Amino acid sequence: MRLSELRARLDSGEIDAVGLTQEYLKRIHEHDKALGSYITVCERSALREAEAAQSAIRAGRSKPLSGIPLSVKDNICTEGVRTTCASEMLSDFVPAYDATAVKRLRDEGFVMLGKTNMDEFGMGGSSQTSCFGGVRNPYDTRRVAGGSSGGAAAAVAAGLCAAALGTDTGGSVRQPAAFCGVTGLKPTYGTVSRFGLIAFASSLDQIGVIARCAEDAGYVLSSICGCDRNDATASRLARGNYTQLVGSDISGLRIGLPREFFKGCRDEVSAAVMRAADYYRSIGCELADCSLPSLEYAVSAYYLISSAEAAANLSRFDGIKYGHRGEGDDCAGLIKHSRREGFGTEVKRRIMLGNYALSSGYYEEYYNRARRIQAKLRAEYEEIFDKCDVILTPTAPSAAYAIGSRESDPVEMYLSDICTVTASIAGLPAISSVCGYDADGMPIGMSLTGRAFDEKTIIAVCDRFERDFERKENSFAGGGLI
Amino acid sequence: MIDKEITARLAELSGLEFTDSELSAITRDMTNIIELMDRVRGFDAEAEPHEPDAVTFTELRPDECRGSYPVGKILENAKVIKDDQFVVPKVVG
Repeated sequence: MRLSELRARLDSGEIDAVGLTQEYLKRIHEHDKALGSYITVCERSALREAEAAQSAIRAGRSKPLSGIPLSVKDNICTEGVRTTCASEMLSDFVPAYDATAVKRLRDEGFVMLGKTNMDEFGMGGSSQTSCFGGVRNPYDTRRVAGGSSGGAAAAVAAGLCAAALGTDTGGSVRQPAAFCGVTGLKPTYGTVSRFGLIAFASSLDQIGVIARCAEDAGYVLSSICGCDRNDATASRLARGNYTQLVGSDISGLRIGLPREFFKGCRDEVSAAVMRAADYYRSIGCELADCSLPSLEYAVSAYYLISSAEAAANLSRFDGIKYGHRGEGDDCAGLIKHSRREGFGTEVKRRIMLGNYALSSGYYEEYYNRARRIQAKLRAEYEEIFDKCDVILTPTAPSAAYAIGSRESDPVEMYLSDICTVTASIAGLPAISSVCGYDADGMPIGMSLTGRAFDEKTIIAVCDRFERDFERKENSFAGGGLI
Repeated sequence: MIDKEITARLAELSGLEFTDSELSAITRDMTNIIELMDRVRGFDAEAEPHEPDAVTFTELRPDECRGSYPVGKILENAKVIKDDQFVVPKVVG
């Protein structure tokens, strides 16, 4: 059931907000042990929020998300509710304020079911680096859910929330959405305020939406977008109804297929994305071959830029003002022990890489060169968007893989991000949706990338495909109401 | 070429510390990671006219004095406090 339909049924009284929340909480209790998608479940507060929402609905004061049960990724601050970033460093950290995105949801009377599991500090593509245990894929619990918003994606796929807030720095909404067979939207950089998002790479981080379909992603995005006095990068251009173009005629739309994205993908993945391309052609869209020549440098450039920023952002975790505090005879010792005990291995790797890229003698060679590659990629995207309206690519080179089969090799993990990092580097909006299943029945994702602040178009184009594509549900997803 | 000496120096810069075996392991990881990062050397930055873009700040709020968060709330997450202050080991002497 789409969120717009859920809204209608709540407003008509056909469904009760408290009953709806109770149903989701029951499903979380029944199924989440097998998945690990939640770190914190907010049972009591969720029921209070549902009651408040139901009163508002009964009084005719409902807003788009009143009474709708959502989850929030655990790197987004929620006042009074622990926010851990799936790290020992913040395992008992309780924010004193809500992130702006959460505040905007609260202003609409949403129900927060809980905080979802993730890779530590958003650094990863598997959601296996969490100090609370990894997330398992609802399609096959022996496989990863993707990352870093794996908990959010698994929860949506298994019907443990109606939609979810995730975050995307280099693919962390889109890739887990693809792995878990749902839809994930990374907005244009500056669309959603980052105030209250615990920073990983500040020039790349964006709060995004994981939902069961593109229309739902747009529905939630409409409530959280827009400029914010607490985030100078949040743009005035981000506003409006992001589902406005859903259902409109997209014949004549020009869809670019950059050839470099298909090299290195599994054959099944390329074939599934090309079948999606054929579908769009069959409904009157024009397909165009195009090129992003600098793709070969993209993964390296992304990791240099993001790690440099992460090294700076994570320097605040010193055990003094908040977070894990180790022992130390002096201040320097205290800081080192706090960070040694608080951070996991991947986080330490990224901090080290970031400081390497920024250090004297290497700054020009690595960090500055990466920024020039970023500028070049942006220019190459602009050239493509002179001739195309959206770009269609795979979301990941493969479907979800077995837990433990790759995570110990950081380079292999980083290279898996090849299909998602360029939209992040360029600051462009991108949406991932299921376009097929591999021989093992695992979902395959396609991504549609659009011009800056043109989320409406990619949502509408994605929606069109989804309405004619028959998804296979996983064994956790409930039928009926959810 | 990343060796243990470089890794140890990076660890110092990063406020991290490792045992000797951990240092060996992370040196191996960093060697492989830097080899991947070296791909950027194939990009001819000198021939590339595009300058890196700055992040766009669209909304600078007026510089005015406003209230902040209650001190008590901010201190709730600190492990060691005294008289509304964060306590740390001696920094000097």
